[in-house]
Amino acid sequence: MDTVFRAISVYFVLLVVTRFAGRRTMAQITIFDFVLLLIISETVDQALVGEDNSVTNAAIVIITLALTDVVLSLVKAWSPRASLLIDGTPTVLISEGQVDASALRRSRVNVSDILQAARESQGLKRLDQIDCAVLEIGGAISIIPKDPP
Amino acid sequence: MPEDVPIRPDGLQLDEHRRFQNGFWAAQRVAWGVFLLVALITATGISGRGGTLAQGHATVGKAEVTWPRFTRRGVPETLTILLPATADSAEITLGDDLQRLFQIEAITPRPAMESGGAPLRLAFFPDRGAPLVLRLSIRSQQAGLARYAIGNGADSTNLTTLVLP
Repeated sequence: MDTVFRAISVYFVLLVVTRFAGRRTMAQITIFDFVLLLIISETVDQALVGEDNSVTNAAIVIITLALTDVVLSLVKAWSPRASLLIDGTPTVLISEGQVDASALRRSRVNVSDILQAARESQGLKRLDQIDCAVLEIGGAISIIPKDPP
Repeated sequence: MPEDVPIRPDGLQLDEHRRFQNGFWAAQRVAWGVFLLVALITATGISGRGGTLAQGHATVGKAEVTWPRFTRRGVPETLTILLPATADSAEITLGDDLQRLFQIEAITPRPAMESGGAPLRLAFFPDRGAPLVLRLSIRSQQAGLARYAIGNGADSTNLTTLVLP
């Protein structure tokens, strides 16, 4: 019982904290984010298994986490509101070539990030070649280039 | 349903939920404040394991007790009792609640005499001219508010420890 409670608690704490930390934290991994990820996983390890290092305990933790994930995915499929709350929504950063400065600031994304995504995904050189840019739910930036004249 | 997703004036077929997103961004900033608050509260000791408020001090008879005000379930803590230098023996009593709510892992130094049961009576013979520092290594068994009694001679006091999960 204790193991199940621990696993579910840790899952939801991580879910809430990463959700509120923002997409930028998890999607655009810098060296600092990587270090953070390592430390968090090490901390969570202790909280999940406690002093019980048995295979049984590990199996219970894995099954509980997988089950929690399945239940959440079912809840998301059943309720669009829950899906919105848990996964978030895409954010349009550039629309018809116009940069939405407010969306950029509040999403903690800068023009350099958009230009990098434009270079990597579309081979674009400049900002004025971008028609639309969308910060996706997963944290990636989608680029739609302007139609050639 | 994909066909339910509206097409925006700029041609993108996506539902941005900008109103929700604005609300969430505001909530996100509040959450960052809460994160900061948790870090500051932790620094004061309210979550146990160090910090000014983590330990309490009380006088019971002639003994001075330092006990954990806040701790976490299953985490080892030390309850310290300072007995002044005396020619006579000193008796410490530990209420049955302390034994029930905490696992007493070690008592240092070992008592000269011990009478089991509830409350547990421990007798010590401190060295003349030197106070005795008695350390109880305890480990909380369950989360919640733990109230227990500690006595010295005829005097007794009730202590409270908040055990976090």
